Amino acid sequence: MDFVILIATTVFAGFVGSILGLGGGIIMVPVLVIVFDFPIISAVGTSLVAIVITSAAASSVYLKRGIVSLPMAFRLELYTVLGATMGGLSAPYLPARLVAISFGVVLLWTAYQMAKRSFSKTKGLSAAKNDNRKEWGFEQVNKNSRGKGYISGISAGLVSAILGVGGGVIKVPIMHLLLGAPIKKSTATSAFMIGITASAGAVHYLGGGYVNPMAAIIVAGSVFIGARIGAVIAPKIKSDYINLAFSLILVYSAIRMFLKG
Amino acid sequence: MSMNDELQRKLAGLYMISVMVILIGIVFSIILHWDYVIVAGNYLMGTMVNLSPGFPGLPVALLILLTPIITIVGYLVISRGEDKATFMYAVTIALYLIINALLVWI
Repeated sequence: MDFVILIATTVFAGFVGSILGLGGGIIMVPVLVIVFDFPIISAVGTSLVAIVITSAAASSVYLKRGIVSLPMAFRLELYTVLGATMGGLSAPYLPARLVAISFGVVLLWTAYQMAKRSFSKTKGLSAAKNDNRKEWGFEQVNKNSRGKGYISGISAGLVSAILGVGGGVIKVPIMHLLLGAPIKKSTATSAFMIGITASAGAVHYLGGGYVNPMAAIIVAGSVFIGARIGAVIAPKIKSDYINLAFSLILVYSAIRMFLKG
Repeated sequence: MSMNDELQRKLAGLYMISVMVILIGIVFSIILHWDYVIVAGNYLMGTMVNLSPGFPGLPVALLILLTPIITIVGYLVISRGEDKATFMYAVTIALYLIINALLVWI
C-alpha cells in the first residue's frame, strides 16, 4: 500500500510540477517526511533528484514545441544562482524569521497580481490575451524591465537559499509579471530552469550521503510519467486557469512562510 | 522553421536520450535490488540502503544530476555561439555546475 501511495503522490507531483513550472518538492517533501518517516534533510535531497527528472521530462516536450525561452532561462538562472550563493554565505547572519514574514507578504501580493490577470477581461491584462502574443521574445524586453528581472532573480536566489523555497514559485512570476512573458512560456522556461537549480543543490545532498538512491530512482521513475502527462496536457489548459492555480500555490507558500516566521 | 526552433528541437532530442538512458538505469537498479525493493519492502528505509560507491542505485542518481550539465554543453555545441550573450551566460552556468560538483566530490 505504501508503494502505491508513493507512486501516486510522485506521479501527481510531476504532473503539477510540469504544468506550473515547479519542481513538485512542495508535494513530495511533506509526503516523504510524514508518510514515510524520512528525515527532512533526506526527503529534500531525494526530492531534488526527482525534480531534475521532472524538469528533463517536461523540458523535452516544451523544447520540442519551441516554447522555452533559452535566452531568458540562461540569464535569469545565472542571476538566481548568484543570489543563492550569496544567500548560502549570508544565511547565518540574517534574521530568517523576518525574511520569512517579508517574503510571505511578497508572495501574497504576487498571488493577487497573478489572480488579477485571470479575472481581468477588460483591460487587456488577461492571461489568455497575454498568451495570444505568440511573437513574444526576450530580445523585445526593454533594459529597464531586464534590470528589474535580474535584481529579482538575485533576490529570488537569496531568499531561496535562506528559506529553502523552490525556485519555480519565484521565477514564474518574475518572467510573467516583470518581463511580460506569456504564462505558458514562463512555466515552460521555469520547468527547464528548475532542473539546473535542483542539480546544483542535489549534488551537495548526494555528496553528504543524504540522498536515498533507491528511493530517489523509484520516485524519479514515477515523476517522469507524471511530468510527461502534464507537459502534453499543459497546452490544452486555458492560461487563465494556470494563472489561477499558480496563485493558489503562492498563497499556500505564503502561509508556510508565515508559519516559519 | 526558425533557427531557435531548430535549436530547441535538437535540445529536446538530447534531453530525451539522456532521460531514456536514466530510465533504463532505473529499471536495472530496481532489478538488481529486487529483494530490497519489493520482497523485503525496505525500499524506503535509509538504514537498509548501502550508500557505498558500488551500490547500483548511486550511479543512476549521479546520472540524473548530470543531465542539466549535458544539456547545457549540448546547447553550447549546437548553437555554436550564434547568440553570443546567451552563449556566454550558458558557459558561465556550465562552469558553475561543474565547479560546484567538483567541490563536493574532491
